Amino acid sequence: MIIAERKPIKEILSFLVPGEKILVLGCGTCVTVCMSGGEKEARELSSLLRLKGWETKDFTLERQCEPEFNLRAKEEIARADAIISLACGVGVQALGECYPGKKISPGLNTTFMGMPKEQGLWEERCWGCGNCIVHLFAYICPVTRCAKSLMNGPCGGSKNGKCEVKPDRDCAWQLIYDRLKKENQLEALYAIQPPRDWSTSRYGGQRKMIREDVRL
Amino acid sequence: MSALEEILRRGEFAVTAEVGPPKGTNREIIEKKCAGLQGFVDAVNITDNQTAIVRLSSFASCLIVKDEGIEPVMQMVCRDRNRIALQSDFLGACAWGVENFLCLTGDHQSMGNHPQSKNVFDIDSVQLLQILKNMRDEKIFQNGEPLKGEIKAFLGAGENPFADPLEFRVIRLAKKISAGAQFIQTQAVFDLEIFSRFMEEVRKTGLDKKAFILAGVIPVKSLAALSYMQNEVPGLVVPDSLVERMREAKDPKEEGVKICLETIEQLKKIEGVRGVHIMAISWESIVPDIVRGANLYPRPRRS
Amino acid sequence: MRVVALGCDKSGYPALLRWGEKGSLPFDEVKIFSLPCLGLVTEEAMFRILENSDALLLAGCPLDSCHNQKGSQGAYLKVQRVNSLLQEADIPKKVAVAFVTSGKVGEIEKVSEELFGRGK
Ligand code: SF4
Ligand code: SF4
Repeated sequence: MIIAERKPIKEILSFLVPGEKILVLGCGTCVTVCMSGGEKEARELSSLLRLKGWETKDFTLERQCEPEFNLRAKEEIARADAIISLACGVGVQALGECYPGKKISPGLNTTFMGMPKEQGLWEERCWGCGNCIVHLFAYICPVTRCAKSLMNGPCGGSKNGKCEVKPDRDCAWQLIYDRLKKENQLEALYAIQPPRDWSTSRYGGQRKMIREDVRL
Repeated sequence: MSALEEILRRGEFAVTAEVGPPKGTNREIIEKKCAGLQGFVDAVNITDNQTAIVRLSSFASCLIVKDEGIEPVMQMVCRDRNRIALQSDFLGACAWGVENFLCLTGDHQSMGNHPQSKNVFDIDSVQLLQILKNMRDEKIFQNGEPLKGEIKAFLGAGENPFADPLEFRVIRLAKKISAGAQFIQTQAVFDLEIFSRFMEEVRKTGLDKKAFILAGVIPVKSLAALSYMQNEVPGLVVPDSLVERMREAKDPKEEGVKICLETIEQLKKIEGVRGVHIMAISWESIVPDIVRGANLYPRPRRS
Repeated sequence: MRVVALGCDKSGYPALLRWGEKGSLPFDEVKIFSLPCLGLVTEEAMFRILENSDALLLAGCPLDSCHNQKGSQGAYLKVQRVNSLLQEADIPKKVAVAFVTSGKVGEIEKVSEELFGRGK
């Protein structure tokens, strides 16, 4: 899922003008699960803004990343002067597309595609490189989880299982090595991985998926 | 053929040193360092924005080194340039007569002085070796298109026998050699035990016959420097006993040189070690003393 | 200063009542309510309450002997989060939490003083 975290309150406040009627718009999907932009967070922020003197309402859509859902908040949006969207960056943009001319500010910083690891801890897992090869690396994506996206083994900075970049991050290559070793599959790492074709990733420009078979 | 390659092929014990370019345009700094090294080393490595700190470029520095009559080893890291820029710089360096290249991954930019920058890591060091080898031997770019002109390049790679996972290091070395590495310069050796074990594995797999391995050494000036390396530099292993020795030394500089010379003496005895790479970071002036002290002076002349 | 105080049936509420009975509390108004367990008080509810009061005081079982096991601990974490949000937004209101047994009033006095000063 998409992980996002709340912007600092001060930054959110800086988007707002005194006297504006505010709608805090939550999103019921990814950001609800990662506890940053769901109904609960929308209500809290709304209340907090009331404590700061604004007139606010909150409303939570099932998903903000689809225009259809966004239309369901039509009336609430019409009544507000400014919207704070607690969706991921996709949601904020979809909302902006649906409501031209409306003042919409992002309330979250979208950070990564990942998963919950423990209670209160989420970790990045995929960069959406457009050419998945995790099966070659014991289901540990080196593109995403190695700080240098190395394809042929660990750099010289891997120590005690940790990455040279941050001592609290696991070295992806240590994880790959350990798991393949345990499964007696180390030979999988002997072959030289050729340079990757990054054109399928965001380096090829903005991406689209077209499915002629389902287009109307 | 580069002098370094020739010396190694003749079976002589090679000596290389490292020169870090300045944080500015002052070429005299490089010239001065070169003058001090003249006659004491077979080639000089020029680092490529090492530890992700911006310095005069490796390419330009190599030309200055050449002007001074010393053979450069141009280091190339994958952090800052994609395959387009790396291939282009390689061609440029070849056109200017640079003949030794060392392909490295590069330290992450978060460790340097522009931690806010984007990195590249389009290819890794193994892939870079393979690309440069194909440019030289097959006369093709990475995309398969032909290139024109002669390329004389002696290709090298780094390897860190002390980084984790230890058991993977030899596999990685094998990959680098089969990708095109003809010589290897290792991370600085302080822990001879780990290094000997590493070399044992290397010999078992016959890799010492396929590439020339130069063991890295760092002469340390002070206890602080050694402790820093022990604690802060990822991928360096410094045994406590050495730290103790430095702590008790009356003259730390002298002790640092002594430790370095003892290490070289041990390294010479390890089968498969074909030379040393002296990384006297911001202490280049000590290199002649070390080369002399290790009985590696005078350097062999090229035939 | 208008204070709302919530206590759990088991320990917090009885303690709050006793605290209230002492009279001469240093606040303009104190409203005391009971609920089954402090764990039920959501952050959202805390904010709501603060919209109509100056401070919120929660009283519940001691952390290690909560009648509903994790209730007090959960409340403690939520209170911390609410306070940090209030602080981030420069809102001069606060939530305090006191862990008490039904007879212990001292702890409530201490917490209320620490956090709200002597009131007024
Ligand atoms: S290989 Fe690409 S698609 Fe697969 S997990 Fe990694 S980044 Fe995502
Ligand atoms: S330490 Fe491991 S994860 Fe970090 S950059 Fe090096 S190989 Fe990648």
